[in-house]
Amino acid sequence: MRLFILLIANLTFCLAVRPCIAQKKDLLSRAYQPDQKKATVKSFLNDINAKTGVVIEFSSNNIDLEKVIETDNKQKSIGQVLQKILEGQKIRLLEKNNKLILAPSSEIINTDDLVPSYVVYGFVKENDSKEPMIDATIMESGKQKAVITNAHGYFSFSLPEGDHELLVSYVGYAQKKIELSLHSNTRLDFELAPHAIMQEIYVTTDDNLKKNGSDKIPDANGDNYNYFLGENDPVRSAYTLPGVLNVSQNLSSMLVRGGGPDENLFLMDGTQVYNPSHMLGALSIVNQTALKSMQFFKNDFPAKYSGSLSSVMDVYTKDGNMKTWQGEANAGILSGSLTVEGPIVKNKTAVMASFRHSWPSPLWNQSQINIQPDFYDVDAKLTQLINKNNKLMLNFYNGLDKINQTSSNTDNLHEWGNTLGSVGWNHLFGAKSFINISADYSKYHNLGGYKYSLLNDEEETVQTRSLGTMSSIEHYKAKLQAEIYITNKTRLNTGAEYKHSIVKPFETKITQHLEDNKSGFTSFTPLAFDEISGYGELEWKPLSRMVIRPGFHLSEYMFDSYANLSFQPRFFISYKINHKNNLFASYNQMTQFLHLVTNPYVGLNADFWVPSTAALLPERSESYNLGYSFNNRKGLLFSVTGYYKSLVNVTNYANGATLFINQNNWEQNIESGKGWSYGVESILQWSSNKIALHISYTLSWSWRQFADINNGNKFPYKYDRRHVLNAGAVIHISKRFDVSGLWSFSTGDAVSLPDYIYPDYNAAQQETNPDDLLKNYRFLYQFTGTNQYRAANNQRLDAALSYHSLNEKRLQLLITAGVYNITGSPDQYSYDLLGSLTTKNILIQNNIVNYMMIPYLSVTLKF
Amino acid sequence: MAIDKFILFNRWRYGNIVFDVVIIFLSVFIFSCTKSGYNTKSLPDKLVVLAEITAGDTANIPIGSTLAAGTGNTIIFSKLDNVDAIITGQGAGTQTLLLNTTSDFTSNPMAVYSGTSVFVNNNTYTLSATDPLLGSIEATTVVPDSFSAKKTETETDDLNGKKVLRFAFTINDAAAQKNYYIFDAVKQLVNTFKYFYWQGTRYDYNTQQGYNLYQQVQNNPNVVLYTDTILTHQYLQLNVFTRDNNTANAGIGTLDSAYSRIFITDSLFNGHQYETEFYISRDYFKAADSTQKGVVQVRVKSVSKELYDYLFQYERYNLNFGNFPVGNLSSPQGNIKNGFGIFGGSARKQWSFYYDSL
Repeated sequence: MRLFILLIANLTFCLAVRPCIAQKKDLLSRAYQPDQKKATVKSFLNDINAKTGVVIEFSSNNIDLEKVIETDNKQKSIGQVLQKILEGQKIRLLEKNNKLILAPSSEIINTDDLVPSYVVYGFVKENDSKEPMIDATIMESGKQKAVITNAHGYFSFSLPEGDHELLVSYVGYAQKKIELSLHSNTRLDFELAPHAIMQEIYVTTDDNLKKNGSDKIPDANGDNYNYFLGENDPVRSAYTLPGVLNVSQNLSSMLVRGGGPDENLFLMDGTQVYNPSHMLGALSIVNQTALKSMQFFKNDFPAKYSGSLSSVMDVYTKDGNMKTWQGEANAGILSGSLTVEGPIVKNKTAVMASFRHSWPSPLWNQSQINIQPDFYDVDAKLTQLINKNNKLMLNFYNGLDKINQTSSNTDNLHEWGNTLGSVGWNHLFGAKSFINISADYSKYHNLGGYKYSLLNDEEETVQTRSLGTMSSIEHYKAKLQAEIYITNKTRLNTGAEYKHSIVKPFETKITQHLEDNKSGFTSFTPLAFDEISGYGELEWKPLSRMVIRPGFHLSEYMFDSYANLSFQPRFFISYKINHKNNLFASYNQMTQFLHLVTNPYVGLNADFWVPSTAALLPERSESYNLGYSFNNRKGLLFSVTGYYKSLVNVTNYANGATLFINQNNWEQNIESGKGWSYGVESILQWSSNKIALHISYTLSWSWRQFADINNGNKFPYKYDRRHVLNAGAVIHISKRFDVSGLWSFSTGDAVSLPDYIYPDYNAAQQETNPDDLLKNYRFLYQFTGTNQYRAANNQRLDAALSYHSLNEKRLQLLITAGVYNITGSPDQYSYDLLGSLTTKNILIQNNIVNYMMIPYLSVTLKF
Repeated sequence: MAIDKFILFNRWRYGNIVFDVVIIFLSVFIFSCTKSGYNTKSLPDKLVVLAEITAGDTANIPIGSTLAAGTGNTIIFSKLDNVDAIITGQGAGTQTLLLNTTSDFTSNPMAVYSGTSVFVNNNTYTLSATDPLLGSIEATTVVPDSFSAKKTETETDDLNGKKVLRFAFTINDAAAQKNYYIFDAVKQLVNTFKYFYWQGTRYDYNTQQGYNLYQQVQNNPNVVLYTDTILTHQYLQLNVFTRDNNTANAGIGTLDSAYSRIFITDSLFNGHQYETEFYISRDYFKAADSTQKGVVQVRVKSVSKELYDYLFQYERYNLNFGNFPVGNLSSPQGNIKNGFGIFGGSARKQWSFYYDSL
């Protein structure tokens, strides 16, 4: 029944926004061609009255009738003539009793309303490969009206009947200009060719109105900040954005605006990836050579997204070249990769395949944590252009990581992997509607082990304990997404999806040795749940300077007998103050039915995805954003955004608990609480032909509050870093050489440490356990607060020199040599206390230097 | 004012609003700096109480003090010998506790303050203690009502290769209030004294002088060596195991985990009879040497909520201690106002088993 209500609600929303099309255009479309080329407004109006039989009432009080107008004889209807002669007049046009009345108005008439509007739609593609281009700009130069292409390269916008000049542009590509005489809905497919010489181009359209609060990644110079030990990881650009943290203690590694590592939705070709990282979060699964585009949302969330509280990363890989075979090979100190793409049937069927595999490197010996990473990923895509209006896509991804990590008294075992598959169909319904229908599958498994040895004062092992965990999650999803262009000011995005997910938890094993065999874990009963959702969102431009985007996402969640209906309103507004300054604001409610529970006691890799239940309610967030952006249109951009975000039902391990030690009570080992964060974020970018600067700064606060933690009082979130600063620069030494540097600084994390020691309870009862190997160490550490101390500040400086051959060559070479972490600074600091009843109790500061100063070399060959 | 507005307006128009935003930003930055650092603040030491008072027993209250963590000093818990401590029972008057200097408590890391009044069931007691340097603390607890527990079966058993005693019993839970139960087993050690009389004088066999004299006169028919066995306040804690999924232990360990105590509340059997069993390691039932001789005591206790909570958190703390870094431990929270530790009440049923020849 609830599902039915949900679908009805979605349908009602769609119907409610259907346009009311004015009927007065019948009179305006009557044929009329003026005899005179140049005359007063009054003469034209009288001439229409005399020759067409259409009565136009007007008064000299309202209109400047003596204004002389010159026409070009191209006008062929009453509407077209009125469009010309009434321009700039403060009137409005009414229709009454088959007459047209020019009534006074406080605003200048929009003369485009006097003629019929027609839709211009189509796709923008890359010239050679026929690859759809995302976020390409199509602008009508006379009316300063622009639209950008969607994730499939599709665009649609309406223009008044008549002659137009369209400019199509995309960064790095030659602008295309076409003349258009518009008299009916028209399909135009554009193909853009790259610039012969790669230039530093700063793209601005005259339509400087901010359409959403997303960050497109990479920006013009983002590529230079992406290198991690020679691997070009496009996701790393996101870490230079304000409000985004990269932490080394989480497998997912990305934290956004005080949210947890599970609160970021990562989509790869529309399919959710539960852990999009290699090498314990240091590297993403996105292979640069296969990447088409990325978009990152944290300010506002378009209604089509749901399932995460803090951010959305929407990644699209290449479709494959429809025209010629080409490829790209890369070799760095971490891994090697190869991507090939080309047509199976020219201009009809294309395939793209990429493969990357790590290789052993002596450089890992420089790592303090002593790891040898072993990972691979395979990405393949098949695109079939069925006809002009239909496209079919097949995607496949598989990746796996295995890491053994050892240090003086702890060993960690990590193994995780993702498998994704999807099939999608794009269809164009005439001029105004575009739909995408897809089905996808995603599976993630995670095996983690942690071995901890307690050493005595003579550095001899007193006790060794291993704790192994394993879990997996998979889902099957079908979805439909549609874009409907209702009027030239209104667009509707709508869709629905069904998702079936299965979490398979396994027992937690406490043994003497690390368990690295998946079959060694006993499976508990799988936790299966379903989600049905729909969304609707209007993109409405009530004024030429304003865009408003109200929307909602409605989800119905079901797990066993527990059901939850979630209504998530979204709102975005942007107002262009003038051609340089823009204000924007947004409001978002998000719901997340999956909880990622990370065992704080077990090394790096002990993450469990668990579903919401009656006891463990869905996580929800509510956020308010207010921003200002400045663009001087000469390469200088500045933006500042303030935000407040509240979180409810966020999860935390119950103090000292171990999840899935027992099948029946796992919910009891998870605590729910609330959190909130607020702050100010800013970016300053300046770009010229010689130099590009990027500075981002975040000032933020992030809090948590749980009934059973810190006596119920609020406490700082672990990654509550007050100040975060990223400063990057790229200097173009010549056409072939760039030098770049990136400095990142942040204040310390919040840490919990005991303040006191007092005697052991059993010892005070004079009870001793003869089997207790730790009896000389038994005393009680007392914490007086949670996260009450601050770790030291940390910073990192990277630098690189890049050589790239010129674009016109068939073989293109890119060589990057750099140094990661020049100062060898720690990624993070952790603290521990050591002591026994016979020695001193001391504080140990562990400087976690996962990757010390490491020089690297990366060679990429495009062929 | 008008001029200010004009200037601001002009800045806005010409795009210099960036300048204003940067100034605001810098101002916020300056006022948002946080101070940090471990142990940069001087924390005063506090009084600690780790006491369980039991119906039918007299008071032996361990009182001690904290040490600051991470100071670099040696961990030495000094005994406080100057504490004024009293226990006030509801309707039972006030008893002053005195420092117990007997040899029975010399091994205790805390000073033990003792009283002579016996605690009774279903009564509330308040402990107040003041140290001249550490200040005053106060804590209140309830000694629960007496309860009925009956042993139904005991047998030696083998639990995953461990030699155990299976102890099955039944609790008759009282419906009037929420009850908290803890089961454990200890071996209460004994002191054995040998003596004899010679020419009307008692000699201690355990002294060198007495031993030498006994060797000389032992063949005299009037010389008899007598033995006295005295229960001490020293205990060997015996590992216990449970397979009862209703116990709280099921949430913190596996069926094979060894615990100090088993925890269960009456939430599933309020007002009803509950049958359960737990397993006791037999490793120390028979003493390997004379220092481990004693009586095995199997104890089922009904305890106050604060004692239950504290000991359960303590059990979890002990399971994690040594397995994880100290910074990740979660310390038990007690009920001592202005101090740390626990002052909790209990009612006890106890079964004694004799495996050593005493």
